[in-house]
Amino acid sequence: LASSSTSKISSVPPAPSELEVTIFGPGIGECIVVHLGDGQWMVVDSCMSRSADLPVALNYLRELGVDVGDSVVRIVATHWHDDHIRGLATLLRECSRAEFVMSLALANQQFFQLVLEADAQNRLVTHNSSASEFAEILGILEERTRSSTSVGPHTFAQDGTRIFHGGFNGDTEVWALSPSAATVTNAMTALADRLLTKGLCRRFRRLSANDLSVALLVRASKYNLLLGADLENTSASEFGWKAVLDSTARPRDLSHLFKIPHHGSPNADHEEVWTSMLVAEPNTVVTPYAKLSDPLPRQVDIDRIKNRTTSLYCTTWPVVRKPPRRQGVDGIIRGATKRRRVLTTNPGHVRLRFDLAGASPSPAIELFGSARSL
Amino acid sequence: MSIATSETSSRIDEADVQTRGIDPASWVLPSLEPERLAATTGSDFDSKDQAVTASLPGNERRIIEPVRKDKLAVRFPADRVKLLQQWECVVQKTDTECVECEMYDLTNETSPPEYASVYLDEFNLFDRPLLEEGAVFYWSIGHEIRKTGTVRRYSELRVRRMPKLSKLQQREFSQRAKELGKLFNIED
Repeated sequence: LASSSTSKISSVPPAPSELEVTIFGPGIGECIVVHLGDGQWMVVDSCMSRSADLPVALNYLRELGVDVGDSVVRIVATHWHDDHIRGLATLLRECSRAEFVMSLALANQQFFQLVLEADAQNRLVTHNSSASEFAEILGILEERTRSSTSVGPHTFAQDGTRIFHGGFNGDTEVWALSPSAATVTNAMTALADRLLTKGLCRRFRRLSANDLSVALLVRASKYNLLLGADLENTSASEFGWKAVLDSTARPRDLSHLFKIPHHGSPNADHEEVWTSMLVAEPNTVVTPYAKLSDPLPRQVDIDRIKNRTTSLYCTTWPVVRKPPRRQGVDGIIRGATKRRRVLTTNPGHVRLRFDLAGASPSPAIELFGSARSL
Repeated sequence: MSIATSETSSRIDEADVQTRGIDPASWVLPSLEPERLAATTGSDFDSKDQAVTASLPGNERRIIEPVRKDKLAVRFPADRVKLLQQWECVVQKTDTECVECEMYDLTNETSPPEYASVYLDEFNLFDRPLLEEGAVFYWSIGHEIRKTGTVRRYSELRVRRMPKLSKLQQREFSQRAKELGKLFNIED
């Protein structure tokens, strides 16, 4: 059973034999921190902690007393949307031993050029975008690659790439389940130009190219985790979840935890994933996305997921909050806007710890901040 | 720019008012000749060099300049805006009625980002074609204090224009992208 929600991060680090997954989702971002066992950590995507003005992963790991420079061994960027990449460059700089993993679909010179151009333009804007974050990461990777002392600076992941092997008793593996070979080929042609917006703040388009996402499978000795990123379904079978299901390269293990893909939207939900990639009644965690007129997950999405499992947690709830009142300003805003709300105020996170050495059949689940069991 | 319709009159700030340095109580109208009368009422009559002498109490004579249209006895500072709130907004999506955007508070950086759906009617006609995904605009809200002392609510939505990258810059970025590709063993 999940423990009640608390605002204080428990500063007790996991035991070497514990597989921990902590999922942050404050409303406009997502980050997953995984303890792979034996003091080795992986961070998947990044979002910012407003209170600490730091990437949430960095803040969390420091609270646990983890030496990030030494203990974080992988940083994975599943894709390049704004809500998955904030603070990733800072994290990468701090985690000097971490190998950086990104989608092979984006390993493209034309794409690099677009990003560098977008970064130059974004400097005119105070709150610049993921393209600038990506440009900074390219700079760090370049620096590390040129340095003879660097440790495995980068990996380009696709379906069937094993990106980690080690952890508790050397039994933990992390596998990339996507993008598929067809997605990579498609991206190598003319996709790069369509990935970025054309406006002043050049950023990765919000609702396209989610099939470039890197979905992950974490295999430990007794438990497996399926981290769905923002991978969606497409009409063609060689892309998205259908390609993952048909893949011959992926391990066939069933997962005990499912990070619901793409904030619970119906276009990322594939019936067969529930039947052939997950155990019965898996633990599921969804992160909200508040930047839509109708934020995700919607009630209909929650009902759909609850039909498949009774164990559903949301990292921040409720998603919609009213903005603070400002005298002299509110009247004008009310007349000029159809709707308005705060994107994130009281973020939360969900933590699950699986005991790889003990006999406990279920994980310890803890909810922090405004995280809720739905 | 759109200005809210409600208007409130305001007392003139005494500190903002500058007089010409002549005590109004000592003014004497020079004469009632038509040309001079026109000058006092701000008509087009050129009263330059038409200053006259006037008798003042105590038999002193002082040169009095006629009131001229271009030299008001009471002057106000230029229109100014007292800013209450400013956001940098990034467009996510547009439709025929609204622009959906993220708003970042420039007045108070600690404020959380917001989402808003802003009516297209609020934007300048010439700015509307620029509103596409990724476009940036600034929304300023405050009070406009006019020369006359009138105070109005003020709301301005201004879309950021973008200088184009030069060919030299584009060549530089292309070269750097190629170098990165080689470094990461990526074939073009």
